[in-house]
Amino acid sequence: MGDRARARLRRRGAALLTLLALASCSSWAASTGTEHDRLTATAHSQVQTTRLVADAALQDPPAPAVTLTVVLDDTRTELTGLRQDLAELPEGGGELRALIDDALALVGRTQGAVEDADRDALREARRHAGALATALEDQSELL
Amino acid sequence: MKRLLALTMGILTAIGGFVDIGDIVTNATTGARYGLGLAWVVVVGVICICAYAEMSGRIVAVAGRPVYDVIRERLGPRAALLNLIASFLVTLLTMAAQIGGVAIAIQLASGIPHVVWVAPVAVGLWLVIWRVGFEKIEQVLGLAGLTIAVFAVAIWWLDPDWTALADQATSVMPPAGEPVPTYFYYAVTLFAAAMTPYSVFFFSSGGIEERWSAKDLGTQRANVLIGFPLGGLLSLGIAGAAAATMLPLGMDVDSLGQVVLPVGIAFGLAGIIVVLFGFFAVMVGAAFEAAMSCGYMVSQYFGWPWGKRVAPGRAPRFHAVVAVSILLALLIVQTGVDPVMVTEISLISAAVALPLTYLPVLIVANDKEYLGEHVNGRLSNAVGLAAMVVVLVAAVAAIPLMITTGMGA
Repeated sequence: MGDRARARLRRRGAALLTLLALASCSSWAASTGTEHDRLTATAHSQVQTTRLVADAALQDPPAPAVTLTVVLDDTRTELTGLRQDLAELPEGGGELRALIDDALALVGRTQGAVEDADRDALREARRHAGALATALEDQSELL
Repeated sequence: MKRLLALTMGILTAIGGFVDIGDIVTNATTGARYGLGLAWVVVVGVICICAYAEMSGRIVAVAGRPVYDVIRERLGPRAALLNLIASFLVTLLTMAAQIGGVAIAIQLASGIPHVVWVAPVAVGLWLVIWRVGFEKIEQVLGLAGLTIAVFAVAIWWLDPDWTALADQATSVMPPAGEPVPTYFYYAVTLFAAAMTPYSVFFFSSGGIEERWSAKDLGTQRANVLIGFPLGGLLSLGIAGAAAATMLPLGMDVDSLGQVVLPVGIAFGLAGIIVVLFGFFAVMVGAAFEAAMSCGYMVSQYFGWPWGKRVAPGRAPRFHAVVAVSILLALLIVQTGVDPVMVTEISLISAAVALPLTYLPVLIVANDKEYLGEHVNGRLSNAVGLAAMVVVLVAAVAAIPLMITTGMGA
């Protein structure tokens, strides 16, 4: 292969790599959204986790309360961290902050219901988690 | 009966080596995000690990020497030292992740924070390695680890949309709206989870411990061809259970506690007991393999006496390396770092180090001086070379993908 052909191949290779990199970056940037979107998606995930915990506690016999309590503890830690992250955003959070506070209250109620094996409260927690997840979905284009 | 017992070696390696905290976390994460959309990566990973484990086993059975020993002789001490350092660090990180995972499994059963359990788990692991025989460990943990098949049973019980699952499983492209780099980031971590370097070191050194010879080539192949695909199916069971319950809700997985929920929903108390027992068994098995691998690779490089069959008094440096490795892993997890995060870092590190582990195996498996008539045939070389291309692509792409996606965020 001559020098010219080699140089042409190198140029084409570089152009192809640049194109691939740009396509990847634009695809990533278009889909990952803003920090607000990311926090909303994480809150949504934690609310859905709470919903699954309520589902597992409603089984007969239910999943062990000790295991479900550990899962809810992790959920609470995540949501508390989100509230702190939200406070650092310039716009402050507004509606999302209220939804995260609501989610934290839901986690507390679900934990109590799991420990007391209160099936009515678990069903209510499940219903509330569904409504809260829908409200969070309305907050972000990612969901 | 003896033949059946020999096969448990393959099953243990499949479950402890193929299914470990890396597989559990990545399969649950990808199952919740893409359903079975990355099942093709598990299939590719199984084929690649089968190819290289078979080569490693053949080297052991025919040359009568462990892979690391041959690598040092074939590549020279400098190149082999680079290989040793990279492989040791990745294996150490992997062991730390397994110990952390075992501690979390106990936390999920007891409610007591996992940091309290890290030291007892590490001490228990060392005691088991010190006191219990090789065959007993592999039989007990290998059979106990099979209980994570409960994930596959849970899929059937949850009765998901089977058509949607089949569509996901046959797709090899990211779903619409999903970032392409994130999809490939998870593909790389899933592949690295299937190809963890320590499984090859453990498999080949275990062959020496079990005194394989050329007569055992058939058993060795059966171990690989039954054991690793079984591990792959168990992994896909975890992804499938997450796909059935979490994908429709649009949630992510970021803790081991979330992973057990599909089984809890399917089978309640009994399901959680079985799945936590299974997690405990596979992660203790993987921690055992990783700890032994640390001892194997260092001892084999420096030419020290090694192995569980050798009395500790005659292989003191081997046992010291195993003990110090467990201590270092304990210190890493005891800092309070999230074991799931350690797992993700260990998988990316493993992806980068994969060529250092597998390229020498391919070279030695083609060397007539060591293997004589048992050198790679055309099929072994074709699969081995194709696997090497995948390994190289994964190694080159791992770090850029990790940075651009913010670790799959």
